Amino acid sequence: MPISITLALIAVSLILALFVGLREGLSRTREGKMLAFVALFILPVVSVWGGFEQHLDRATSTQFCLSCHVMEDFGKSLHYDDKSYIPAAHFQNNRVPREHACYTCHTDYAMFGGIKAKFNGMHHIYVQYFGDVPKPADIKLYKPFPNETCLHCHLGSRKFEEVNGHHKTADMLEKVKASKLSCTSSGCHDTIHAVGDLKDAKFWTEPKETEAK
Amino acid sequence: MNIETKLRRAGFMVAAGLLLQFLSLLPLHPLAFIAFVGFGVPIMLIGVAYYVFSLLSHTHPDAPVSPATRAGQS
Repeated sequence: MPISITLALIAVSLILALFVGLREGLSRTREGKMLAFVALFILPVVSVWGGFEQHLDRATSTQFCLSCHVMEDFGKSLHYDDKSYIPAAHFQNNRVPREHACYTCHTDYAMFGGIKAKFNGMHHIYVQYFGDVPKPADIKLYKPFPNETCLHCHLGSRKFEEVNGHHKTADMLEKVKASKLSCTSSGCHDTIHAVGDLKDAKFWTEPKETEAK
Repeated sequence: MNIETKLRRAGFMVAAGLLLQFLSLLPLHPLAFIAFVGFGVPIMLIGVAYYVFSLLSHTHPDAPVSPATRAGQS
């Protein structure tokens, strides 16, 4: 549901609820009782559903993740002008949707992946305002980056299956697929955000949408 | 307190919750989500619950009085 419709829905609900609150003698008529039921029960419930959906959808956006100061460096790392940085290569070549870049790689593709990501996000907010915020370079993942996240897109693609680097040993690809060999920490694709490199880095400038057209 | 007053109170509570929900959707920030979940939704739900409770606890003035109630009144 577009945000404009959700906002309009909540605004209409708000106006009707206020009307019920301000109007005297509303419950004396049948129509008034029906209006009160719609304004104080049906519309608020629908509005909450719409609001939740909107908030959950917005929480997957790159802009949302980078709205916390401590994440700014990670946002900059998406613009390294060097394809050896995995997140930058994925972001710049549309291997992940740019509008949802963080969420695409940092939520596990399992049944409760999205829910776990939301709970982790709540923990991040707690740390941001009540805990000790670490320096960007000290931020680590809760657990090693799961191969499943990479395989969700790459598994079965010709380049992934055939590239020489994935056949250095006979069973290399099988080990990767079975998560016995990590994509990121086995020495192959281990240049990730590396925010410590930012000060000496060269950056790619994202073309504006109008220029791209 | 009559049902009229209860309905009006519920209306104000629901409106307050919805106003917070509306405002929480304007900025794109994690705190906006907290405002939505932590304040907007609970205040609105209290208003809805108050409305439902007022309906359930309301006795219509023309409703027949049960024999037990009548015995208690005498």
